[in-house]
Amino acid sequence: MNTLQSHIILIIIIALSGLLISGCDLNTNNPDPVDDLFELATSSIDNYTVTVYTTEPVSVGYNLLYFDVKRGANDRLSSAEITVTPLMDMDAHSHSAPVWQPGPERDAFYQLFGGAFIATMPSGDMGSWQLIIDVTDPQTGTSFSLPVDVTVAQSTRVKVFTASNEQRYILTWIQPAEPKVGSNNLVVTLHRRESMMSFPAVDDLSIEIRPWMESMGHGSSNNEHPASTGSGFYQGRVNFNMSGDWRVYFTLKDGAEDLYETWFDLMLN
Amino acid sequence: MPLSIHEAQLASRLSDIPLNIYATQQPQSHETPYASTPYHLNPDIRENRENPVMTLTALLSLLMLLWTGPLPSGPDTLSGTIYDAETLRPLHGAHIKGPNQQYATSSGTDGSFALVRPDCPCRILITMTGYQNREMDPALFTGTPVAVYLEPRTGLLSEVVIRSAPVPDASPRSYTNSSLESTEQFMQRLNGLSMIKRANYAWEPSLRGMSDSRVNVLIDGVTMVSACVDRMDPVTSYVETENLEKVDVSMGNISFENGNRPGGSVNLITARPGFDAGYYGEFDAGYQHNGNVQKYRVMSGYSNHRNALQVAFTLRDAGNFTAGGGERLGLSGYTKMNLKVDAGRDFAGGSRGWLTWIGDLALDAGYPALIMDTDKARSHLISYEHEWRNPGSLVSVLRVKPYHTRVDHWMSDYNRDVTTRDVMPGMYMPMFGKTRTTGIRLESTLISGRHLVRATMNLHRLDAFADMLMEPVDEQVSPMYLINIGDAVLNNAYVSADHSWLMSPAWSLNTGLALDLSGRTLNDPVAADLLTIEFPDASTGRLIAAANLKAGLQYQSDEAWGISLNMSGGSRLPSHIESYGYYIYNPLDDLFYFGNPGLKNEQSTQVNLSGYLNGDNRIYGLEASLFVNHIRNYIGGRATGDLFAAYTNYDAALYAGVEAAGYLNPWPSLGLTFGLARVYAQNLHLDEPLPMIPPLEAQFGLEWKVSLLTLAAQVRHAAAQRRIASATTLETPSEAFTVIGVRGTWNLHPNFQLRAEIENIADARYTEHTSPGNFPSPGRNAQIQILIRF
Repeated sequence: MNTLQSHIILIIIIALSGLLISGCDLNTNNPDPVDDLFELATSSIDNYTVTVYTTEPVSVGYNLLYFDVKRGANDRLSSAEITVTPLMDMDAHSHSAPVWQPGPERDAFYQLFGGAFIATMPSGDMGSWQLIIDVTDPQTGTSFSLPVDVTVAQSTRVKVFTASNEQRYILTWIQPAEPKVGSNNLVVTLHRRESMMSFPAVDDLSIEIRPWMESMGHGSSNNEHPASTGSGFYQGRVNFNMSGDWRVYFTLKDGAEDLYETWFDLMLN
Repeated sequence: MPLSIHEAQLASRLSDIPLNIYATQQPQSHETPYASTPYHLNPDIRENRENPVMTLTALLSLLMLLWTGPLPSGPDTLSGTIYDAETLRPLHGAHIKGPNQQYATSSGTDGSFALVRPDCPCRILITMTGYQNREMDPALFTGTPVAVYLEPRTGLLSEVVIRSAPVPDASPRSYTNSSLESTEQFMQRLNGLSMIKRANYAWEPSLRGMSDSRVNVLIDGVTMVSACVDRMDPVTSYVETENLEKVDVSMGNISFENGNRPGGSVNLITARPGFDAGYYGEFDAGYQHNGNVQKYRVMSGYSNHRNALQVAFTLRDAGNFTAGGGERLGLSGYTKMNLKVDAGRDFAGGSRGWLTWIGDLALDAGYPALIMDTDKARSHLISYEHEWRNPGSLVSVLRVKPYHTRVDHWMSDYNRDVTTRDVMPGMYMPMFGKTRTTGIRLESTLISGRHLVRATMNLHRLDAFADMLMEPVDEQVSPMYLINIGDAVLNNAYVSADHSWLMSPAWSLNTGLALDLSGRTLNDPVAADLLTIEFPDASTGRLIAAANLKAGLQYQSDEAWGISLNMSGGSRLPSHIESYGYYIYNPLDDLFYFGNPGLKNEQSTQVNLSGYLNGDNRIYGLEASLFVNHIRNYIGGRATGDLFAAYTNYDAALYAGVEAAGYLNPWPSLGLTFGLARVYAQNLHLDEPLPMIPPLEAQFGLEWKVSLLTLAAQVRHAAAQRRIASATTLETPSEAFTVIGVRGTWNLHPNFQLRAEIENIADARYTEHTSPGNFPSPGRNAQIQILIRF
């Protein structure tokens, strides 16, 4: 065996060793993504168990909701009709909130039924939140309803206001969740309060933004006004050129008419 | 451009043989390493006929013979032609002496000479004012005329070489400054050169109205980059003027040796030790009453024939100075220390090496015209230069110089009342900046007959970073942080060749080529993201290149008169601040600038016409230059809002001007000088004047020497500047002023000198137009200085 051949064999052995080592990694168990979720509540009724997850503790603003529905001990329903109704009980009256109902199929990532709602005010002396979860098992036709108590923490990511057209709107900041210096993807939602229990998404208005640094007396340039992407979502880009206190002004417009101006205050580290 | 005076002078100091000889016939003695032989007469070289360099040598040598023409020769005659080693021009009036006056002659108007061969085993001496003496062995003269190149002599003190004139050594403006004035003072009265002073501390040269990135400022040929993004630490602030031996100024693209900027270049050349001085030293102390400025400098060294060591330390301390009329300007003082160490080694085989370190520290330097002050500025420059003399038949000098520089700059406004200012009121804004350059510079001088090529290569990497903290006085408001330059990395390669061809004793042709290549990027992702926001179509990482060409034709009728026409075309790469700066405050317009990574190169087309006239025995002399510099894609700021501006390419800008200077020496003891300069600069895109252009300026000087005493007076007048930019800056007009100064030097002893000076005798209050913020210049200022050599 000459030197070249011995070198080739050595390289092959090293390469196979590397594959074996990486193969060991492949055999390790992937963590369940659900482990990253925050379990909000688990409730059972009849033969069904419903578990409600959120991505983080519920606070005023946009909150993702995930549902797992089991029939019996381990039979996870592959499909279910779930309707969520957020309900704020304020003694004298109650009201709901904007909500995105879960789809009938489990999502690809968590293998859960995903939806969302906007908590428009915090829990506290003013009132308390419940999620009324109505579930129908399409295989058995069984329907049931579960109330889940939710504690909503305070935040400043929701603006509720009455615009010049006498309509009451709910503007919610969704992204960036943690604004950074530079260019940020901006996502907000807009809903109209049609009644105490109805908050349809608004897609036919326009929104203009103006980031501003009050202490410096300037803003940032080349921002993209959020445009409607449907279902009440508006997407754009907001730029921050330094850390510190920022205020992002939002002007709600109907055509050329300014309906209302509000803002969100942010602190960038 | 011919070999620079700097090169020649430095060479003369470095070599034990300060004479550059080119023999047209193979020398019988190789006593001097400067002797070389055309290949067609040298059997050793003839074996390498396939070498294209050697072929070129042969052609050039043949041309040289054709141009030189027949000269008297013979076994009993020494004949040759004396040339300036820098310009390759024949030297008229050089003295060639044998052992006694029987063997003496002088060179004719074409530099040629013939001398009866001394009948003794002796040497001949060649001398000429302003050049190094040289002894030669008559055996070198073997019958064929010998070309002898004399090296210009180094001035005792600092010297400024201006390269806008057709022939520097014959031009009135190439005079070495007298020992009366500092380098700064001398530069300030040079036509076409203005000093931008943002405080009483650091000065920055402006050439023909151009400064900053349009002028390349080097220290000993080393690329050093300011760390402060607000230009509070120009490179000139990191070298002591007393340590300078020479300032090599190139106005416009006359020479590519020190870069290809449209404004030109300034190479600050520091003094280094020789190899035969033994122990030596200097002590220098000075005091200025205006601002209570104290300066102390001590320099000492030792050298023998092999090794040399020299150390120079300078300490300056200045308080607040008083402007003309009596207004005392707060925050105008500073403290500064500079240490320079040179170690040299003369190696066997004709090569030498110098290790140089320059360290500089400035503390509490106030900038009354700006909104910030320098808390601390620190720099290190370390370099090693190795030089070979005559490493090849064509190459007379080869230098290799690796270098590294580090500059750190801290500034803040903690000493200011920030609550009442217009810009960013209510917050402190400490800033930090740093630059690092690491590179290698190669220089080579090739001489063949009447052709001289000066080749330069400068490869360097620049790392730059700057950031800024904003601390509101109101503690309820969060502090803010900003990156001004986010780890910019620029890998630059610069290659140039300046070629001079002395076609006849009167006519010469200069051509040149320079190439710039720069690969640059921002390594900080946040900084890159921010610039991408401003310029979505530009990439922060890119490779850009620039090419430059020049050609010049010169005619010189001896030293009596001469004229030259130089043209050049080329481009300048955007600087790292123009490309990557972010939120850079500009005091000229109170705007914050964004760099633009997508900037195009500035394209410059220049024409320079110069002429001079000298009277007999240099009793009088005149010089004048006209120049036009048209710049396409001119880089400047364009306001993008009430607070912000961005660097952009304007369609075109035009610089044009005239400079004139003259002297009159009616008696040997009395000399008069005058000069004037005028620059017209217009932004052709906006149809408005370019900002910060010096007004018409005229100077008149008088110098009188009486025995050991020299007295001088200087009158400087600047006209009002009404041509101001309004669209791009908030420039304000400036008023005319006249200042008068007197100086005197008393050489009490060869080793003891006393200097005294009064600047601005009339205590006039005036403002240089190029000083931002209407920063007033010092009022009456009396100073005294002693210099002791040992």
